Amino acid sequence: MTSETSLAANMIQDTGGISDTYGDFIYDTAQRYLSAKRRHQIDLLRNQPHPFNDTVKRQDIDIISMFPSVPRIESIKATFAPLQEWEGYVVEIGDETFVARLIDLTSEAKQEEEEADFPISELSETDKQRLRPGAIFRWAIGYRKTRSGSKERVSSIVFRRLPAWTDRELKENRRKAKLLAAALQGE
Amino acid sequence: MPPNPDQIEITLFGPGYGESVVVHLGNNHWVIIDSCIDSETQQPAPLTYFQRIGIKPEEAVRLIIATHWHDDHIRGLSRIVTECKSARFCCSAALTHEEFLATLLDYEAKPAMVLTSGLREIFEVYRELEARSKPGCTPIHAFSNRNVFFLRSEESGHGFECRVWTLSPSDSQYQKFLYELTKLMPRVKETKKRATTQGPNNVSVVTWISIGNIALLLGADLEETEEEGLGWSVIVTSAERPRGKASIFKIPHHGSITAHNDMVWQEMVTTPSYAILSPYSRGTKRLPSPEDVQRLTSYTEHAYATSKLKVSTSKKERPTAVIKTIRETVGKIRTVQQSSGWVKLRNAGRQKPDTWFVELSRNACHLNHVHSA
Repeated sequence: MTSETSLAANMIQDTGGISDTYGDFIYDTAQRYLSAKRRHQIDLLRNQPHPFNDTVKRQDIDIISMFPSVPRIESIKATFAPLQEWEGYVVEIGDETFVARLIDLTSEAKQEEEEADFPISELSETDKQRLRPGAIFRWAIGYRKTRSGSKERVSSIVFRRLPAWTDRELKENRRKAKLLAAALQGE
Repeated sequence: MPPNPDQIEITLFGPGYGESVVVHLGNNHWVIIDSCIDSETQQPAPLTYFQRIGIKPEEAVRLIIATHWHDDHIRGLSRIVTECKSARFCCSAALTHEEFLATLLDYEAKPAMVLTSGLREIFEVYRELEARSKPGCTPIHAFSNRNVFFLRSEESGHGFECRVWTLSPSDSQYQKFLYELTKLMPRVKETKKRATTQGPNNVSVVTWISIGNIALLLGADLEETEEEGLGWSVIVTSAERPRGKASIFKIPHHGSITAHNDMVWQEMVTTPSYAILSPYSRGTKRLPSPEDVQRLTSYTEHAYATSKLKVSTSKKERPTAVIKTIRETVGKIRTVQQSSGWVKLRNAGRQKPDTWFVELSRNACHLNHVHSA
């Protein structure tokens, strides 16, 4: 598996898992675009009286024929079957790697038992911006079945896009902290 | 076998995940300092130990001290507090300060991840104490030269009076901690993350236990610093600290040079003495270093580590495809939890209180061998 496929996996996850690989994504977009255009042109010809002469009509037909006819394929849902998943947090950041501690979600471990050095180059640009001590990510290894039916082994590191602390939340915690402090003083 | 009522015992557990000290003051009165998770049982090491020697922690443990909130000293502490229902809980006053509690809630009221953290443990401890909600359950605040526990000679089993003192944090350490806490406190619109445990261990609680003429110095993670009023210098030069010299010294901060103060060895520790530590490994940091070992063994030949400091590759059984992908992505995965071990020192009882017997677990070793394979 190359870092390219890993980056692709990251990017796909970043887009919300809409598509599968770059190839599938471009293929699907092209097919959708051509089909819509073609349908629109055909609708114009069939349902609306054309304001111009026959020559123009023939020209329109010629234009339509310039679009390649793409056979519609049955939609195969892209799937990802994880073999192993971890949750991790960043401990140290070096020049080329970052150290992270990992909790094995697959074996339902209760605490971090493992640690690894991850190449920063494996991260997507978005994730690089999220890289900081304490940042939380998911690391999954598994098989991805593409829409075209092919199967590939992937490693996917995705930094979690956690919500931000809000003013309201922090103020509420300060209020609760006062109560807790009082309780701990036996009040 | 549990110690006899007239025997003093100190056992250091670690690393597993963390470090913990268990002290038998005498007559089944026990003190627990910090917590760690035993790598085999996945339970807090002190509780596993009590179970093994037939001690009921709910009756026998009188005091629990949390030296600081860092992950490597506190994992499993909430379980210990829950189980040891008759024990008082002691921690730095800084850890019950409103600012700290607010930060605690910011990170742990709605935890962002599966992983627990030192803050989560403290949070759970406070929930337990809050649930008990009676005056005797409020934390005892540790600060410089405070006597936090007293056991009369008639109750001690060996006829010696026992006192537990906290030697830190000083006022300056307390203030410094609150100042540094501002770096950890989340800001509005900042993305949530896990609380990181960086920075010096300024607020760490150093414990002094005196039992008759015997004294134990338990250094927690307190580091030395050149700043006035902070670190070991303020303890060793204090006129108010309990007098005497300790025959057993739990080396601070896993033997790091950053926690070293020569005056401590000269003024507060007997010659010869017993020195014990638990090693530490995280990322690129390994403690003690070979230089640390050399330095420490120059003070005492009776120096022991709870386990060897070796970095091992994870041996977890996984599908071949996963192992192959791990190799391609990160090379190898290391085990965080080194095999835990323990070093136990038990004295000969009231007739020969200065005579100590050392017992080492299978993983423990003399400090000289801490780096050997």
